[in-house]
Amino acid sequence: MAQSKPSERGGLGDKVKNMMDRTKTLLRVTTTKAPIAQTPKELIWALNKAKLYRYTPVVPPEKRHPMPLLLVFALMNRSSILDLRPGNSFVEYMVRQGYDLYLLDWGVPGPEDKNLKLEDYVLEYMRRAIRKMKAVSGSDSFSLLGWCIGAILTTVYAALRPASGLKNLILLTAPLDFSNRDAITLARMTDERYFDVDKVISAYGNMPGELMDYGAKALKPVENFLGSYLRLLDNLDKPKVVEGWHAMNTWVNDGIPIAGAFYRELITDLYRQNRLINGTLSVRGEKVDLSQIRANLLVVIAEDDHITPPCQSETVVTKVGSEDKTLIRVPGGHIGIMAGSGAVKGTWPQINAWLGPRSD
Amino acid sequence: MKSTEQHNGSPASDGGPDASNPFDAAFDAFKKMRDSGLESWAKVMTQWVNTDAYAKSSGAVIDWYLTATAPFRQLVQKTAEQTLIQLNMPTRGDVINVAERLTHIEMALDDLAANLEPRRPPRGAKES
Repeated sequence: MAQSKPSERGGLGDKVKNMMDRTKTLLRVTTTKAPIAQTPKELIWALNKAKLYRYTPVVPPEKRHPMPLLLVFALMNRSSILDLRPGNSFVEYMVRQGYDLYLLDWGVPGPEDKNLKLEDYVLEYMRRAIRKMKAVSGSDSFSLLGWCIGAILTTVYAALRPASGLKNLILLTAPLDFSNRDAITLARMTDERYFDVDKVISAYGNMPGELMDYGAKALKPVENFLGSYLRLLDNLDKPKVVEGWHAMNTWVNDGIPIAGAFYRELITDLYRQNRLINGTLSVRGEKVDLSQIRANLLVVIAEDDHITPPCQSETVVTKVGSEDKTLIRVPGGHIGIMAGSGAVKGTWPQINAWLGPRSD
Repeated sequence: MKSTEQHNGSPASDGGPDASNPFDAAFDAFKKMRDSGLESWAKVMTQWVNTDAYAKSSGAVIDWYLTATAPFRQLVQKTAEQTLIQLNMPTRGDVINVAERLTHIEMALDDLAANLEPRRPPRGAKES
């Protein structure tokens, strides 16, 4: 990586060397993968492509929270964003705060998984993973944290299984309410007048990760396709910025497909018909009634979220049956509130401050 | 879903251009102009992608691509399937069926294991 500052070097040779160093750095971070998801963990359960990990505790048992916490990320990206790199990892932070931490990693769906639906993820995979987590932790009570599509899954689980022992539910940038279609660019892009979801799914089986990635990046095309690389060029002399960029770039460019049947449900039932908030969503014949949710609820909204605008997460607070419910707004974007440089002093301590007293 | 909105790290506090160096000063001015232009462009583009016109055009591109490639895709699929059948080898559909059945078996085993597995005692409890 480049170490020198141009202004500190005078001779032509130094300038050439500096330019070569910068070029090497640029090539390295744009053509290689950064080591991410480094926090030690143990695989404790697997089903099909899904894996349940338990992070190795670093706090003495007497100082740990007895209630386990399960992290559930979105289906179309790697969960490694929760454990991006040492010093900038939500997982590492929470383990140090004494949580018995588990991660449900959905894996990469293959052609054989194209028929997986919401009901499979919630009532088969999540239910079993939670059963395993309870057995391993020895605790009947637990907390769930869902991020993005993971928040849809955890919300549906909480509504369908209120007596499962779920005590705390944390929803991060949760796309739950699709009523304000003018504010949701993705809703407009997937409108039935313009987007034939059945045609895409019948062609590919699963929704390709590249298409999902393009759709998300297209929401802010200049920033994502150009601005990000220009800022890297501007900061090639700053190792901290470069390594952060490298780690994020590794994650961003490692998108995965989403199971076709689930994607169809996501677009038709949620994006187009807003069934979760309307109370008309059924999962395997069971009505998903948000008022059945009794767990303590924390909703975290990213103020500058262009993927899940705040209006998509606000309504749920009024729909649930929980007595203890909190909504916080955090400066930042969809991913930035949890993986950006400000998360360690912003979002993470707020989550810990809310969850800690409720986990003992 | 993701984007690179936090792709950029924190603003730099060191290694900035040397104002006394005319080249650096000119470059700094260029960067400011560039950033200002990009910001305006970004605002315009962000507004544009949230229009029906953009949604319609992006949908049309996807639709055109799928329609144009469908015959080729179907031909490849059909040829591959017929070849595999002739060679007495499992087709993609066969493999998918086996994989789905394996997952169902995995679920049954998971339920069995859960019933047989001794529950770990709560933390702090004395081991017998």
